[in-house]
Amino acid sequence: MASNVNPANAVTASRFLTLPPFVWCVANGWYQWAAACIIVCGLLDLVDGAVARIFDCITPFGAVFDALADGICYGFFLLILVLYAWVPWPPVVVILLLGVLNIGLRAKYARRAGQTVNYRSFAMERCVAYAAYLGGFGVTAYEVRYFYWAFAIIMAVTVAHDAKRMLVDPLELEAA
Amino acid sequence: MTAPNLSSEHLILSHRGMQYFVTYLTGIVAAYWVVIDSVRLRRALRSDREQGAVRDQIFGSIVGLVIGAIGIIGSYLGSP
Repeated sequence: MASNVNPANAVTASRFLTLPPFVWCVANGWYQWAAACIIVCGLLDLVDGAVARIFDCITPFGAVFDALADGICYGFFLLILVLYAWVPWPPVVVILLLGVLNIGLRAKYARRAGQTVNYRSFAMERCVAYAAYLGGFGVTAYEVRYFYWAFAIIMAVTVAHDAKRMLVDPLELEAA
Repeated sequence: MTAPNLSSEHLILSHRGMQYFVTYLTGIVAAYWVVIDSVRLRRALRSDREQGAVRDQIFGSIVGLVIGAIGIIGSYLGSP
């Protein structure tokens, strides 16, 4: 099996480098550059999977690390936008709590499986992509209330579905 | 909620240009999303639905279609 120190995980880790400039841009009102930070973070998310395939370094840790990086980066973007009052806090609190619950469910699933394994949720993959856009809508002040509340509802339904799959349904590790 | 402090300096596009960019980007991506998930849903519905992974794909595609619809409506609501 490939080492966990590999090019794909390096690309995943590099996504965290977009966080400090994002904070600076929001603090100084450079909203278009803040949007650019989110776009770069999203593009790196697309690239890391391709790098893992090209360098043949797909690992269970990499899959979990990628999911964690998604949660941390997009959660951080939303948190900063709330702190600077660019977006309403109630839907963001709901979204962040659901995100934490989702991470907890995945840890429980891995413990249930007895190995480092990432439950592949097709619905959550869509939600993660939506979360990237949510940051963009937030920094550009674009129909914020509509998109944020719609996302909170979709995320709640997705987490409820995934909770049943991870905790109740029989384990299907080949699908993970 | 207080209005965000949006600087008029160091812009990549004008404010209005940015609004058009976000509107078109949202609409185009959402429409693409609807098309892709329609195809994936049709494919998943033809597979063996007894498998949990196939049911996950069906649910994921439905969520994708809803998100696509939300994006299309949002781009209409936010059009300049």
